[in-house]
Amino acid sequence: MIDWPLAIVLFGGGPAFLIAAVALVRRSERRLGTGPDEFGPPVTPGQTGAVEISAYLHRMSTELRLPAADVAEVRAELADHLRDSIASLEAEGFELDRAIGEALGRLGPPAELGRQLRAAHQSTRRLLAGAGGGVFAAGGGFVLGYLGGSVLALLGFVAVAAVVALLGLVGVRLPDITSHDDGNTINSLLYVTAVAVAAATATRYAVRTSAGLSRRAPRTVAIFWAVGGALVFGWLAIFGMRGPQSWLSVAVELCVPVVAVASAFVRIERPMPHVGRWALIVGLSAVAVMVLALGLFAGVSTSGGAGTPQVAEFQMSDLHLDTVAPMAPTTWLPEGTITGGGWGSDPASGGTSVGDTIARPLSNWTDVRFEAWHALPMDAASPGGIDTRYSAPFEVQPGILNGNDLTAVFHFERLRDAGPWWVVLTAVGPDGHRYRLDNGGGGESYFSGSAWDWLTAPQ
Amino acid sequence: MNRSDGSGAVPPLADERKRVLAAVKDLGCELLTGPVIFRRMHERSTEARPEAGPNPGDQSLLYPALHSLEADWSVQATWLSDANGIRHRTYRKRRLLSRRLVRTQAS
Repeated sequence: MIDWPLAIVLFGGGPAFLIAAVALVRRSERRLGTGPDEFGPPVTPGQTGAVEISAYLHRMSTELRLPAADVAEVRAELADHLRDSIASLEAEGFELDRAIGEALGRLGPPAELGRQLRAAHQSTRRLLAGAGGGVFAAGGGFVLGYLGGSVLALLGFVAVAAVVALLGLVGVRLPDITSHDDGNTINSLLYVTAVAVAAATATRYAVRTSAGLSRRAPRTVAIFWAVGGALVFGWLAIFGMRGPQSWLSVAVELCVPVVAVASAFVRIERPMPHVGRWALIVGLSAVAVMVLALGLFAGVSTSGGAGTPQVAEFQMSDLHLDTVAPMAPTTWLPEGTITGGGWGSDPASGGTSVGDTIARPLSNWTDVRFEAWHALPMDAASPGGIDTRYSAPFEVQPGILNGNDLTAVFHFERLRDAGPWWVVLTAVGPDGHRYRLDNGGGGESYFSGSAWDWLTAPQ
Repeated sequence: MNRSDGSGAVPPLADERKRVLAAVKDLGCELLTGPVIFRRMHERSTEARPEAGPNPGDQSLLYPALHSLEADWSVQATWLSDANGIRHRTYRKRRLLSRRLVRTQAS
């Protein structure tokens, strides 16, 4: 069933928003730079009074602090005015030197004229238009930057994968930073690269659009957008973005505020590279080739496998559950006391809920708790079970009895390296020793949270 | 501020804006350069108060007034090239409707 209003908003409104944002940026940018020879030099060297007029215009321009196109227009207009004025004065009988001095004097002190012209251009209405336009352009820039950043990140990933494969062919083995993390390192790096590019594009769009609309030099408005961008995108990167994390991605996320500040200032007077027709064609072709290559690679990997893997049979002892504690004697824990158990996602907290169904009261047992142990990965070759390199659980939760259900909630997703785990129900028996009441079960969990969660996660 | 009348008083920009706007309105739909507008302002002043018109030499607020009127959408500026290829910035009163549409309605 197609949700037509949503589809229209997504496929119609989204592109319309992006096109409007890009059009606004391009239109505003026109004020920030003059085209080649659009106005030319306001005063030619051989012109009457060229030295005096040039000096006057130069002094006036230092006080203007307007976008480059406005400065060029003002200089051209005043030079034209002075030419007209000198000619009129000469016609009235002034000598040339006096005519030049009089014409310049009538316009007033150059610095004061520059200040007055700046005030005339930088009206409150234009300032508000610049602020609003900057926010709008930043929104469009973020979306475009995110899309472009995603493509860049994917292309970078393919390039690095190709280099690693080539190095492998010539015998150079690089350390595998992606093993046993369910792709978290790669995913988090792709994600954060897209966000960093989006933050840079959004801040740059905002600075150039607001400068053009408010008729201010880009560097005079850049400070506000740099602070705003650093706060907004920094918050988003460090606290707002939740998902897989790794040390590399967290390092990049911590740099996002710096990226926003740098993109507001570095070469801000230069026009941004706009995506032309050929760039679009080349970009889309690169993505198509990349998708085809990945598809081909996936196909080869699947067909080149060894067929259906042989599933080995396992014994209970292969799980090494005695590492946790010995099984409770049946005299103290009659058969049928614990009738079932399992684990699943806890919808309230997003954690992992574990539980056992207790058919009879656990009399004589104290300190009933669930113990989470690091485990071996579960696959065809291994049933999982306790990783015997560890001598203690990495997390313990007391069992909470609710009716017949004994439950606890673990937050493996908030641990940096939970990976494969196994949860066992244990308690202290009448002899004062800890025993295993249930063998429990295992699973795999990987970190999911913000960069801040990662930094403050328990070891 | 350079004032050749020696009074030292600086005409406020608001007054200059009014005078500039009145001169632009006087000249209707024509595209006017800064010097032409200033001459019309001077003519209007001497017509109204021949003995105490503004000093014809003081043009210090002409361009700030023109540019602030343009920023407020009261006048519209256009660059035009003359027969010698020299570009001049011209002004006219901003209209809500385009010139062609106004002519059509008038006819």
